[in-house]
Amino acid sequence: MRVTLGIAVSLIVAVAGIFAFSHRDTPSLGARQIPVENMNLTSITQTAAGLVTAGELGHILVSSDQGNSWNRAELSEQRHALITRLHFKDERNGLAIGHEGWILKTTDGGLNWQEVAFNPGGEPLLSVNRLPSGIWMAIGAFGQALMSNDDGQSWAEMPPPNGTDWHLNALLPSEDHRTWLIVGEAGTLFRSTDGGENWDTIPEFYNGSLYGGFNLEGDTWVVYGMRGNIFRSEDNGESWASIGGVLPASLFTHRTLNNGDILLGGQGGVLLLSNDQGRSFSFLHKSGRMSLTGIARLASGELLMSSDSGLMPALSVDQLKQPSGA
Amino acid sequence: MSHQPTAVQKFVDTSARLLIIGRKPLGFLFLLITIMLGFSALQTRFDPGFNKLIPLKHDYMQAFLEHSSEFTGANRVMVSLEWTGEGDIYNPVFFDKLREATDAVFFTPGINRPSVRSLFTPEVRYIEVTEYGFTGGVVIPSRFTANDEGLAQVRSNVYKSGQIGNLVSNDLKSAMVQAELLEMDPETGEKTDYAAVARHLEKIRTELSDENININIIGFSKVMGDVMDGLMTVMIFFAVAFAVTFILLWLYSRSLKLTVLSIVVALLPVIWLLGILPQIGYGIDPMSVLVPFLIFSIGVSHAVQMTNAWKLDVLAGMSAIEAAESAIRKLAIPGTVALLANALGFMVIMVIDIPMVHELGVTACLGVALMIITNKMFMPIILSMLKLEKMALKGGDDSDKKHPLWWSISSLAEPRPALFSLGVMLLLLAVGTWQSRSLLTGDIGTGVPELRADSRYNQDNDKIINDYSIGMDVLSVYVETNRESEACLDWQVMNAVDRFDFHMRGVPGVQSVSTVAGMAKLYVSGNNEGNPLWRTLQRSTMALRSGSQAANPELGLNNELCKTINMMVYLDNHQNDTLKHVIGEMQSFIDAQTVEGVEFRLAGGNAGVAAATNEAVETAEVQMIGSIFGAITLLCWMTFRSWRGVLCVVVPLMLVTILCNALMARLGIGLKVATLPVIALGVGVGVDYGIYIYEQMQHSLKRGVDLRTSFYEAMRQRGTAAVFTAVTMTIGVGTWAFSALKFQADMGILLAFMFMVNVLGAIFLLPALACWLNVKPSNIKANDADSMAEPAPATSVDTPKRTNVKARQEAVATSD
Repeated sequence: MRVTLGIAVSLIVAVAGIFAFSHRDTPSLGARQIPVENMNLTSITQTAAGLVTAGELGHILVSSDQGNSWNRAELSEQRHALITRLHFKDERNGLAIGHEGWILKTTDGGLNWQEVAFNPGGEPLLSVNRLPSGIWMAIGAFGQALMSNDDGQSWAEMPPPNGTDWHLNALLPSEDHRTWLIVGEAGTLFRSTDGGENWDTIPEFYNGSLYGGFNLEGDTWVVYGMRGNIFRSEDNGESWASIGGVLPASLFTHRTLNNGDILLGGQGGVLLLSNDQGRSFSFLHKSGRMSLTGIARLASGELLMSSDSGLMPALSVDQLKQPSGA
Repeated sequence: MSHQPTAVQKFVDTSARLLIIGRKPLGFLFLLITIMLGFSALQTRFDPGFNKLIPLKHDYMQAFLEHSSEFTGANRVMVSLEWTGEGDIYNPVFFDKLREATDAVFFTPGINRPSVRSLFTPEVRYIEVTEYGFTGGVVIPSRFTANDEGLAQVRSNVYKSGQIGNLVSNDLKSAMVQAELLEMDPETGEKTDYAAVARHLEKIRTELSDENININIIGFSKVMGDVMDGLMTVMIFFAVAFAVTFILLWLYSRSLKLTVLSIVVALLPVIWLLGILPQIGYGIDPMSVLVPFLIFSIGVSHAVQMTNAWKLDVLAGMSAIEAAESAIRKLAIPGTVALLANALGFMVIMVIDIPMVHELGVTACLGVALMIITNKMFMPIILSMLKLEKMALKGGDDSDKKHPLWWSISSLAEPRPALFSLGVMLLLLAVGTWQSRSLLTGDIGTGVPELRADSRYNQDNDKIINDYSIGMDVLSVYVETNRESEACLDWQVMNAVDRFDFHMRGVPGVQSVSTVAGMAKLYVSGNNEGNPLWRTLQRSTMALRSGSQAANPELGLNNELCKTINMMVYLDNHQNDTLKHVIGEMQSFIDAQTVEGVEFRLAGGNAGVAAATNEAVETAEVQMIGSIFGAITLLCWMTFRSWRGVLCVVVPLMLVTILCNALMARLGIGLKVATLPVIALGVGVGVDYGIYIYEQMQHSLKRGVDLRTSFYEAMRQRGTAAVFTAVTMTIGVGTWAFSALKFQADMGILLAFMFMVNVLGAIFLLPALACWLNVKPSNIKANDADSMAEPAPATSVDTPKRTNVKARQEAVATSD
């Protein structure tokens, strides 16, 4: 039958028409990622689980491949408070502290976290460490201080060191963990020479905020803070001399390299380098508008830095030495 | 259709008689109307309203319109000065120019003066945290002198102001002036004249650019200005189309008088239409500007039918008046029906829920309706007063010779060649269907879709996007809150916004996110010495207060008391895949929200408009194709009373429509507001060829003539006219392809394709289909005395009411 062919052809056209005008799907652009390159990360460190970083909205992220990919750690509670610091006692055991008195504890290098303290509406904790007595001490805004004598399981408030109500930014041990410093707002600097039992106030030598510091061998200390201020003490924190002022950018973090060189990082992605045991710091690099908050060393020797605008691409010190436009 | 066509015919005959009797007063009346409407047409205004472009009933647009008055930003103008000389912008010459540009932008008509921003305006400040607290000041001090010291100070201030990437380009080679345009000009109290704004901006460009300064300007108002400039070139295309049509008509009719008459009569509905538009409060917008072309083209082909009918009668010896009356009688019904078929195409596009498309449909339908008066009434009146020149009288039809081209084409009605034709068709179908699947919805590429990618505007746009960190494609999500007090001091609300901000930052296709939560966190950190460890929102109202400057409504991220929060997501582009993906991610976030008294509503910003438009277009596409093909199938069935006839006409039409989609995919033309109506228009007009040829063929078949000869007869009598019409119309719309406006060029190319390829479909595929669908001549000879064209129906498929057939035959005889 001739007509069969004609009808068949017509049917084919009809079907083709329906197919041609049926719904056209648009391709997916790929799964949502954790915006590690565009989020506030306040800390980065290396543990048994790999690299661990944390910050914005209570996110703790773990990378087992040198920072190429990141996964969320398991948290027993998600409080959406900013995590301000990660502190590991060893490869596996560590604490994460944050705003509103939030404290989390891990025993597997950072893959799983257990909430141990949270104080809704409370003040932020800014630094934590384990004193030689085995007591954990956490300090924070408005002179706030907490302590735990059961390895971080439970926390209790303790009176502010020296009754201060300034923000306390960092709790710093000496190499031998005998001498301790607390640095804070408005040039606050407390020193303990008995493993954190008693604190004396060091007379004010600077009226801005100090954000961090470190002990070099013996009695040598370096502390750093606002607007590029760096101070050095050679008498175990009694007296201080200014060695800063290279750039008026606040400094928030540091890292000692394998060869003994010291890096300081801060606002504007500024990095300062000392290769003379912290006697002087010179400008190394700056990279934009972010503030550096942490520096980790990768297996390759490259540095991976966290900032309030996310992780920066890993770079070696030599690459950092190349002048960059900004 | 009517079962008393004789009554209709009688009515037509009487009307024709009356028309001819009253031809003088009527003619005078029509002339008067033409003159009046002609004057009125001079007032036709360009009316490019922004709201006409959006699908108002779409959920997204409901939210957008509710909030758009509070969160503008869409109507921003940016004038960027680029230093092309040595070094960067920090030199006296550049700063002089930047100051001049700032002043010039300040005096742009309709500009919101407090919104003008550049390094020279006092709102642009730098902030510095020192041991003593915040300090800050204007970036360019009042006592600024452009010497080394002053420039060094400004350089440092600019760095601290955070304006790099915003008012100053990332490479420090350019700086810009930004300003918001108001809908109402505060000085005149009238609607801001975009054309005047665009002219002023263009003046800034010419006055300030020199060998070291290059100026880039972008903004919605500039787009509109450029579009209006582009529309001026439309007049050139109209002139070209006019000239080409004139020549073709003259070659076809060989009579100067008839040529002029046809063109003038085809212009009449255009003049009437343009005259009526201002009276009913309509304007011409960038899309409906194309309607006059269509009306003119359709008008020409109808005029050709009328003059031909008249000419044949005059040649047969009738007087001009008798011939005119006879022409009305023959063509009134069929011509009107044909025009109604065209109107169908225009009407169907109104399913697209966008005001501008509605106006296009209304305008086109109105034009077609006017054509019934001008073509079927005014024209015969003129014809009745016309005397044909000698030359045209000589040009008789040498109808006895076989037309070699048409005869060879008619072999396609034989089974074997038909098989070849069907084979080619299936091949095209396969390729076309496959290609058509890659058709994309919406705009393709970057920049504004109205203009070509290489237009000055889009180049400026690319340059600014490259040099600054400013996104142009914004998708806004509105958070509506019902809190008693300031919602931005409610942690639940701010946390939801904060989490949305974070969620969207990780979505591919998103460039950056700007929300009041993100801003508040920056302020909190700023108030805490810029320390990143404070860049967060805490649960206590006290703590939230330290970031509350971020909730200043002037920043455009929220309104008073944060009743509405405007979360802006900047996208990589506004292509449909990006929009769909990002909106999908937004929706999945929103669906998981449980915060009480907080409602997330999509979507505003230009990307929100694009997303809503794409959805409206996609929904309309299927409805439109369905209804136009349904309507045409019905129309064909009523005309032929034969399913074979319906298939012969509709199948090639479907193929051409699929091929049109494939062509769009190949040429990178997206399915959008401008191109979707083209398919309906193309189908509505393109179907006429098939009807026209099949009807004439059916006519011969009923007299017992075999299929090939019937087809040959149809081609000989109507093929030339069909091709003539197709060529004129293709040229008429094809000229748009050279338009400076991208969407016009797209429309032109597609319409030309539809007009031309549909006639090819009717010529090459229709006979093959007829052959394999077993369309056969009747074996009983005609015996009806009334009309030799009407045999008694013999086959089961052809059983039309005999009187109806006559009307049908004539109906299609004039359709083009």
